[in-house]
Amino acid sequence: MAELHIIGQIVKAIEFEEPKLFCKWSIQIGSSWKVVEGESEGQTVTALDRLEESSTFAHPIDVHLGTRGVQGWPKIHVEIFAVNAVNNSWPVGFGFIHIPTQPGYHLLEINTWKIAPYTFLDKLRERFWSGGYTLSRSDLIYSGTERYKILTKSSGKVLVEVMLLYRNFAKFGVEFK
Amino acid sequence: MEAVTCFHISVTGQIEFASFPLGPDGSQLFVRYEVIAGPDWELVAGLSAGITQCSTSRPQDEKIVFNMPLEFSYKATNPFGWPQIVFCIYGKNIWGVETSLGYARIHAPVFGMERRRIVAPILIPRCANTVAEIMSWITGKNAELRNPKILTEGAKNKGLQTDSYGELTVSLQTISRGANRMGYDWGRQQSAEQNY
Amino acid sequence: MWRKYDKHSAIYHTKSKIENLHFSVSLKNISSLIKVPKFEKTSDVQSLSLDNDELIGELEIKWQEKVFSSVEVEVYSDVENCSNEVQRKYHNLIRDGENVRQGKIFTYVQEDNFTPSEELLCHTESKRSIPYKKETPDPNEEEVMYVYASLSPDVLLFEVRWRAKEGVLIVCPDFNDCEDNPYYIEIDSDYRHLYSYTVKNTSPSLDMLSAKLEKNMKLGTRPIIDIDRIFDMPPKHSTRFLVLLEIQSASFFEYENLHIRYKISIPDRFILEEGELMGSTHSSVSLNSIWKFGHCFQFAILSSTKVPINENFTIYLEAISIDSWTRERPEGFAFYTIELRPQQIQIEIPCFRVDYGLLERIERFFIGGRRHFDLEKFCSGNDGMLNRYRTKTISTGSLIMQCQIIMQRNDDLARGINLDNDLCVFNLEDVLKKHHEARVRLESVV
Repeated sequence: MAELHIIGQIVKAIEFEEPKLFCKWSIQIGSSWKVVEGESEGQTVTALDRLEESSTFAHPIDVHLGTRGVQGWPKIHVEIFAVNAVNNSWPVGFGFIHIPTQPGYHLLEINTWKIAPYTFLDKLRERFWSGGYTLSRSDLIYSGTERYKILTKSSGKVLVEVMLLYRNFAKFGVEFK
Repeated sequence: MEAVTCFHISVTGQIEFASFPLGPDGSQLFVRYEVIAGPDWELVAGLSAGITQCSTSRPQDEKIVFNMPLEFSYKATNPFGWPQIVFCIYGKNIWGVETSLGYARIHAPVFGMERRRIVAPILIPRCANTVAEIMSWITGKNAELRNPKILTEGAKNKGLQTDSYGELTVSLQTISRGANRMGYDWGRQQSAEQNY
Repeated sequence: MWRKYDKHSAIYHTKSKIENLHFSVSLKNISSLIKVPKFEKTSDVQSLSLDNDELIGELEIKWQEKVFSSVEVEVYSDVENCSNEVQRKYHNLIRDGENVRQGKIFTYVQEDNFTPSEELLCHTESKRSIPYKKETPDPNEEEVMYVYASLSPDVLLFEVRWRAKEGVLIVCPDFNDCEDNPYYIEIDSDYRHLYSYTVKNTSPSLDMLSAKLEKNMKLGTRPIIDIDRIFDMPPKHSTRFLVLLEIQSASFFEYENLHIRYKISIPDRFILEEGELMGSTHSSVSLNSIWKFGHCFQFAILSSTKVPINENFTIYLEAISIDSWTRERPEGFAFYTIELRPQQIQIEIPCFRVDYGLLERIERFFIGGRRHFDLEKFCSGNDGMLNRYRTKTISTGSLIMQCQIIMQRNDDLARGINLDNDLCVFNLEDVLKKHHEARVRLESVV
């Protein structure tokens, strides 16, 4: 059994239009992987920056994964939600990225997208009222060939810093570099 | 042979300075830090907590310099629960009352034989409701976290609202021993700067 | 029909020398499950019930005695296959022809440094959460021996571990009797094969006191299930590549609502193990004239050769825009070839679009429509030359992609070689061993 330690933090979300954001994150793994210790999902604080257009979370991630095979390499999945003055929240960004395959320190920039408003009324609603649409089935993000029918709009970026420790991969003939 | 089953890390460095664009919301700042690690970790040497001196910046400079040494060594059987350092920043507001100016949290660096500068953003919790906000504006006392350690556990800070303002710069260096023998692969060395 | 007897480990304490350990293994093929009595005169009453089973192997083994399988004999007969000292010793033994025992039952001893790729036979609990306080056992403290049967595939029959310091012998599964409780092996290949085997302790003077079997042994925190050894390896002498690709963003394209379709072609000697080679991203509306996709996908391919050198795979990309009147327009084509070796790269690929003439440009503006364009043929040469002279293209935007590749090999013969120098344990014994190996290599050359 090989092991992977992911130690790091979700640093901040930048280039989003909305100021007050929180992030729901999760680590998606294939069937040969297993979470041994730590939380593989969570939600950050709701953050606002006084000067810049960014939201700083500084949310710690510490996960210990065990695996029986290299397939199903883990991915980090983030969903950024915006909060308005009356505490309604709606998603303004979905994104995911593979965990890097080399041990060491990495700064990952996850590009996110949100569901684009279709009609003019939707656009007004998104701007002034309760926000945009969300996905009715979250597995639409992962499934295959019909994805071009989902119309999305590019959104901001989420910066995640991870330090990866590998164990026993070389013993099973796996090479990274 | 105990060395086969556990590894040691030794972290040295200092809290260099805090910087607030447009100046801090107080004067005579000091920082209290504490090192928090998981259940498989044991402190073998050094200090796991400390309080700096009270420092003020020069009028034309936005940096508040502490220059406080950080030194600790841990022994562990498992990288899970890697040590994190929580910083609580306090200062005197215009009424001369001591108030909290924010919190910062970093992981001790996992890699790096070279000294690395880490810039940690400072998070200030916001008040829970409008009444508390008005009271805090009148008295000049900011909201405080009852237990700053919740920042190190991801599960407990859901629903907390924070503002971020300012940065705390810490430079640290980690020396590790024994991890390669346990089969851990630590990758190549990193560059000296770590900022976003 | 028959009762499956559970396999347990047994722990024995002994103060005698481990070299006195003898055991005998016998393997039978069960051809029919129904015990039909035969009407023959037999003087021995007990042999009635065992006639249906065919004895295919029987072996008396001493502690750490190496018995070769037919595959091993074939491999070690050739001196070029021997990469370390132990293998050379085997080669010499086989060449001299003495003390070479081979048959259906063979063994792996401590020197072979063998780790079984399958789960151990004995489970006390089959699903157990991995304890995180694991101790990696010191090889100086424990000696191990495995007994295998070369049925197809090779099946682990029996495992013996000896801890000299504590005087403890761990036998998995326990010794049994062929009449009372034989162990069964079931193999489902072309049709169902059923075998039974027994392991008997025939040590003359080994005085063993059986310890009570405890689930969590007090001998150490190491559990009976050796979780360290379970890992999905590619078949022997083949290489697996796991490719992680991410289409990050696109920039400087003409129309909005862009999506990217991709197709990957892998070299001929590879087969696709997991994942899909074709797909498309979602459509995106730009922000500051950059379309961000962040689309991640992965696939695993398996090669039949040992270490593929200079193999590449190609990714073909097509950017298409669909506007609100559902007019489709091709926005760009591109292809990129990536070398199959462990790496992590970020690539920026500029795209082009085919220009068919003024009429087509007007048609593109008003009606849209995609013409059939064979990108793969456009990118591969035939008759020794790739001639694109007649085609006119316009440069369009560019795509940014990231690719990460992991390689995994299962090569028993290469196990002696250190794959990654950073993991070398530099203590005195290692240095002496490497010095000795280098000297032997030098002597064989000179």
